[in-house]
Amino acid sequence: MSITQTTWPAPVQQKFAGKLLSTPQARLIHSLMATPIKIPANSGDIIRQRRYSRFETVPVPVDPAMNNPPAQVNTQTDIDIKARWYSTYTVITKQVSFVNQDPILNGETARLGQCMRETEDQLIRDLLEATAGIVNCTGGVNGDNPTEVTRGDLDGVVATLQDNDAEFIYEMIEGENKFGTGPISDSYAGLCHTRMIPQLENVAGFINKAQYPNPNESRLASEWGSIGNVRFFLSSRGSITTAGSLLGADIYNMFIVAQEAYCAVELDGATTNIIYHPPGWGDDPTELRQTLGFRMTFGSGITNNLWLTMLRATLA
Amino acid sequence: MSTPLAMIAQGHFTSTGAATTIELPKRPDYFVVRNRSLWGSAPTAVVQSEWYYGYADGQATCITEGGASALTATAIAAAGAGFTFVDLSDQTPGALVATGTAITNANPAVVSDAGNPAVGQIVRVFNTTGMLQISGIDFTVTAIAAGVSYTLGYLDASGFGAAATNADYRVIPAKYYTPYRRWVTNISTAAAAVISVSVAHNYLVGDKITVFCPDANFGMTEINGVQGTVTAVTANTITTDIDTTGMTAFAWPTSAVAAAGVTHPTVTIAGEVATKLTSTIDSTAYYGMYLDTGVVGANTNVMDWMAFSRDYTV
Repeated sequence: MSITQTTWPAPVQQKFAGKLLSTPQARLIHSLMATPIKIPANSGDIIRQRRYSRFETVPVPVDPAMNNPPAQVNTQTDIDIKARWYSTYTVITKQVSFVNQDPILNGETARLGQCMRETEDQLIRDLLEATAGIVNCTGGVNGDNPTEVTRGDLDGVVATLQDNDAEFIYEMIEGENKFGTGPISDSYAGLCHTRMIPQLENVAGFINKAQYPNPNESRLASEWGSIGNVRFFLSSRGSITTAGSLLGADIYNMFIVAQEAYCAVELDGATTNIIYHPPGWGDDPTELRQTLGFRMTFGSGITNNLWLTMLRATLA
Repeated sequence: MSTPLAMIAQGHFTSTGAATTIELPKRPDYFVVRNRSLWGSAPTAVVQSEWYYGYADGQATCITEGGASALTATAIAAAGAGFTFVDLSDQTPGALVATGTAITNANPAVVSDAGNPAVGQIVRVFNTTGMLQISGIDFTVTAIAAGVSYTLGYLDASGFGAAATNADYRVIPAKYYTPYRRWVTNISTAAAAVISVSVAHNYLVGDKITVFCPDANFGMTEINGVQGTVTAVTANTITTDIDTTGMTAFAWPTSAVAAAGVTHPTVTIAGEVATKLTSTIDSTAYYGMYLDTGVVGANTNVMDWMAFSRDYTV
């Protein structure tokens, strides 16, 4: 039997590619609009925030005898938010760190960081989903309740937020003399699921972010475009109410938020920590295991539920 | 290489005979509960039940005494009355149950359904034929007739035009952020309005609330966005300091109007008065083991339990 070069096997028929493939990372839209608050160390784990009511206006002039008008009593609302501890870790055996060809500790650190931020985002999403005031889309024609989203539904929410004196998050983007672009109004932020992309693009007045006059005004990958006075940020972790509609379809929740609508709370000094224990730490006499984990404190709460609306829609 | 099981929690409780949930620090790999009251007393009952990671919901393996202290290995099959590990942060609704055939237009409303949920569970009713006002809304189940019907005790449907002739449902997990929003089923016209909700709430006296009623199909739009303070509560009602006497009366829309699209009114917590600190916005998620009636023991039985994990712990 003859051996030719084409039948000679290589001694090892594989090569590990040093560059790792990407780990999917959900876009973190819910934490984007949260007002950050830190509780100083050794000050408990609950932050109390207070909002005073407005005084009544006094259009009646003081009488000619200059008698004092009645005093006004102000009222306040206290919002208390508790920060909780969250943590997770992974165990890396000596075998893994010795045999694996990729820098496993570096990779795991990055993935734990991702886990930490996605946890924060999920906590805020679930908070908003549990407590925000609801408006159903009713302007569509799909026969469900809520219907698919329409321009009228969005404008109604904007009008309600304006009625409640909610401040826009984004300033107007002035029009420029560029083909295919258009000015963008002062805007609230709209946070929703990526499955809403075709729905949003079908709404009258949708402007893709590529058509913004100045691309520097939209540097977030999660931003998709603008409708009227709402700029939309999308994530694969957007809020869905499963089987929640009149006909049992999934409902896609769009959080339309103004400034100072909700907050994210951390304990100062214990916000986020990556913790590494080398082999031999603890009950590991033959140095076979190392651990890598994160620990963080986090809380969130709606600070003014008149400055936030959960607009619910089904798909067309 | 295997790692040894380490105990992560243990304790005991006195059973009421009803299902209960034991809070745990994390998911166990092995869970055991033993009936201290009956152990060695020659009962005819389950005296020890076990759960291993990988068991289906409701499953258990048990040791049963047969009266003369004869031990028998028994099992509770999947979807039975055994153990279920629960993660309170999991917001996934239960499976579709499509066996409901009618909802009475009465006070309270009763759903004819052979596949009835358990008392205390929250169900989302949808796909109703007729009575579309409540389709997609969550309700607390307040009573059942096993295999026959369940009662939506917080729904007065006597004003509805007609009964429904179909009703599907899913069991809905409780939201783990508290306090939470609730669907409003009625608002009284009074100097101190009483708000009724469809699911038992956890609001407290002194909580500040915001009422949302943006849809004119429910009347009382004047209350939309109004904030008030809770002055008294029952399981499903909230008495407030909001004066609704000058407002349009609250009313449910007809089924046909609801079918065309409505926004149901809701109420949610806005804060609390300065003198209290009992309604903190908080995540109440936890891991737990749900012990159903097949493993929880009889009323007054003292039950010892232990949870083990084989996770690497130091």
